[in-house]
Amino acid sequence: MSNNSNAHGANYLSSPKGFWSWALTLDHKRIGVMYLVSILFFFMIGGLFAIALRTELLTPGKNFVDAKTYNQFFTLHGAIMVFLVIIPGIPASLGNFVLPLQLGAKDVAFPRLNLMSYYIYVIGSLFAVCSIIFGAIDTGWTFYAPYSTSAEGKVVLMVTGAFILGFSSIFTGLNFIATIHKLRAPGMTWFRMPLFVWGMYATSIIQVMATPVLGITLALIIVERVIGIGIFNPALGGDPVLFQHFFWFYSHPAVYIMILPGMAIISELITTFSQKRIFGYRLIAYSSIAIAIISFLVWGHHMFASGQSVLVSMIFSALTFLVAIPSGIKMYNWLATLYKGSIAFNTPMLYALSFMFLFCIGGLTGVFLGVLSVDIHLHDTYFVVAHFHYVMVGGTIMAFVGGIYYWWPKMFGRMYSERWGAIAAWLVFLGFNLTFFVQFYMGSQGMPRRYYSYLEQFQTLHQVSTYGSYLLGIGFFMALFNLIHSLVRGPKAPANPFHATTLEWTHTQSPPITHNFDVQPIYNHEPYIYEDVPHSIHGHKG
Amino acid sequence: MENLGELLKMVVPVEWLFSVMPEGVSTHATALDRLFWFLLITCGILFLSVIVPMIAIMFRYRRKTPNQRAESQKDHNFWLESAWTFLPFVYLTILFVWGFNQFLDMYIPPNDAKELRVVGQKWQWSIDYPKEEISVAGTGAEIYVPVNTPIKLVMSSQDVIHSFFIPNLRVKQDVVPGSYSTLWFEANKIGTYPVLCAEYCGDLHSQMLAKLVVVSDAAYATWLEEQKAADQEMPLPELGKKLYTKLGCVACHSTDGTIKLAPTFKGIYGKKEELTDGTFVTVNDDYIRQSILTPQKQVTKGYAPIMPTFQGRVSERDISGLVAFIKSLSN
Repeated sequence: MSNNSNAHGANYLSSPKGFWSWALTLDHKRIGVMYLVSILFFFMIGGLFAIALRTELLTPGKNFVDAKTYNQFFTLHGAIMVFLVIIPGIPASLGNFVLPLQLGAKDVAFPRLNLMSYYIYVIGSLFAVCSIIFGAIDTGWTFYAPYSTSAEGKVVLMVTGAFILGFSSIFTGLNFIATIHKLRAPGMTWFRMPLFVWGMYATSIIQVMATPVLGITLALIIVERVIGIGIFNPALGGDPVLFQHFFWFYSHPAVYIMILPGMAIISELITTFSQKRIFGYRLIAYSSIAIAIISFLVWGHHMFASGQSVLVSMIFSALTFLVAIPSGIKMYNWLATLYKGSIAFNTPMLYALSFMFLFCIGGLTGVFLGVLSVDIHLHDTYFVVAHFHYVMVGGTIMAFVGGIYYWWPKMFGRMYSERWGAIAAWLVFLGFNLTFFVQFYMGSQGMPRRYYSYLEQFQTLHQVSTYGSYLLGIGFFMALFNLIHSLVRGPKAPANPFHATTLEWTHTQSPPITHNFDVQPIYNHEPYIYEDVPHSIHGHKG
Repeated sequence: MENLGELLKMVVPVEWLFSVMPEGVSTHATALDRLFWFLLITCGILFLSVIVPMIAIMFRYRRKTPNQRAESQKDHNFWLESAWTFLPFVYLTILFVWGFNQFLDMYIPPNDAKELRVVGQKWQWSIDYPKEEISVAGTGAEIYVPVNTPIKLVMSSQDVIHSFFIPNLRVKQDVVPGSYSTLWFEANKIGTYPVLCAEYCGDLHSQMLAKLVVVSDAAYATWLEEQKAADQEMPLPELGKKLYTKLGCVACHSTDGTIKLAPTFKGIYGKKEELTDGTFVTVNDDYIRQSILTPQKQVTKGYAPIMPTFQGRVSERDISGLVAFIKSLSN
């Protein structure tokens, strides 16, 4: 295939055509797009539950649903957002699309496994949807025993869904590890890999090693509920705290499955939009791996109030502080990258800067929670809710949306509108802070989480939070509409609109051809070199 | 000037700024708040150490012309990178040691602490005073404790995990079925403070409230006397009415005909009710007694078997009181 024939038509989106060519595709780019659509769909569903529960909290008493329904709302919001959106989120969609391109590879190492992981994701999500339709659960997304082993609702269906989704996660992780080890372009040594790839590598390690434990835990819940063998329920001779150990042994590393890909995207955005080499490349790469390793050793910090031994709490507290350090390193390295750069405020960059602002708050409030005595007061209050939303939404989702904007021209060959992109980004930023900042105050005042009604003194703050969530919702819809609108009306994207330096921009067209590259790229330099590229950045002021 | 101050207070919530934590009324609170403020100030400084330079850099190095290049491509600085790798160690070590020491104090009760037993169940707290042989229970139960006296709670749960939380005292402890957990505090200010459940436990989780009433030694002694005397002298229907709220029946059974999670008490006495197995039972003294002691035996059709047993927690006189109270609602 010559370069010319590609430029005039054939790309991975347009050929081959037809439903089955998509449904049975082995192309990592198409699978990435299918994941992206599914994940955004569930993000919308999860978001609707969030809006519904915030609306209920406008008044301390009943507003429009009863306590049971409210409990179902926050459970479904959490379960959908965690298991169907944030955990698969960046790796399965953007990772699938970008990773092989950045490595200069034709595809991932195991394309069939990749397609299978998508269908496993679909099956798992169908189980989750069925459980919502046939008897929504109210256990909280954490499924704490013995409540979850005795509660009404289709707990088994939902838990089976999460169990199945775990396999999808493991397959993606395996695939990425093999791809990174074996399919790097000639000349691309480990320390010439883009930082996004480093982030994906660290994430994959956690996915492969931690997810089986979640599978075991969820399977044990099913065994207890269906067969009645006592594992977690003390009424049957089990130990409820054992469940928490099992659960957090997965779910704490999972927090890093969620945030590491976000950090990986931010590293790309910061360097590209300041047209400056990333500061401390090796330190950022090592810190990702450090996070991946230490993240396995901190699960007990979710249980300082559970009655675990003082010694255990002490060790977990110390290790928790240790995991804060690599995140801090990244923050300062990004800051140093911006220094003396040529900073352009394109929409992806606005999300990257939002990330830095919000993740800084999310990270530092995490330090509060790592301090043993302070955590006793703040545990299970809105302070914790605010903290993890600052990290998961302020961190991961900001990075995800920034990443979607960044790679959108590459994925679909169209430029979005910078003006509407910026307006939406500001709305999201303001709405987010309005929603969650007041929750820090409520939490330190002693407002417990998962409360249907609350003391009247909190009403004003709850209302601020609710109105903020509406603003946040509008911002996200505007961002989505801008992207969809660009598919129809957006100007055609050049191969490298932001003058980035990684292979997906420099060596293939937008959108790429099915086989990614006309010729195998050779890579014999560092990933971020800006001296020789022209610096004008295209943008569409629509 | 005073008006100006008032006006300022309306615009800027000044009192909020100085009351990030609720009023602290225990020995733990005094120590913990000092650490909390240290965190707030140092983390505030750390936040500004990132955000102020970030905003300054965003402004100073913004791209003014499309072809503007970065002023420098410098991508490492050994001393800077070492600084932000190792300095946090020092800061975090201070926090760790400080927090852990406090945690130890919070964890180990003094030997002379007065012991109370706490039972959590959906959705109320019951507190027993073993030495005094009295107990309080139910939604909104008032737990009296003397001021400046260390109190140790030994807690267990009848069903799922709950968590005993008193924000003003800065204490919280999960209450886990199948094992005992302990918590201790020394309240140092007279007053009434909310007690909350902090571990999600189902429908009425947010209603699982009680009050901690901290009183002087003299007032505490008087309260104990009243508690012991009150139940003996009270007429039966009145005793029943009191137990109705105290034991938490009110959470599920209404007295005005509205349907909550269980049948209403209004007009129920003498009524013929269909049970889950299809048989019928007449609500009389015996059935009420049985429902209190072995509630899962005969459950009215249409309701979930969620009522806990009150075996061992109510005396014969208490049961008679409840029967009399329920009877009075059918006349």
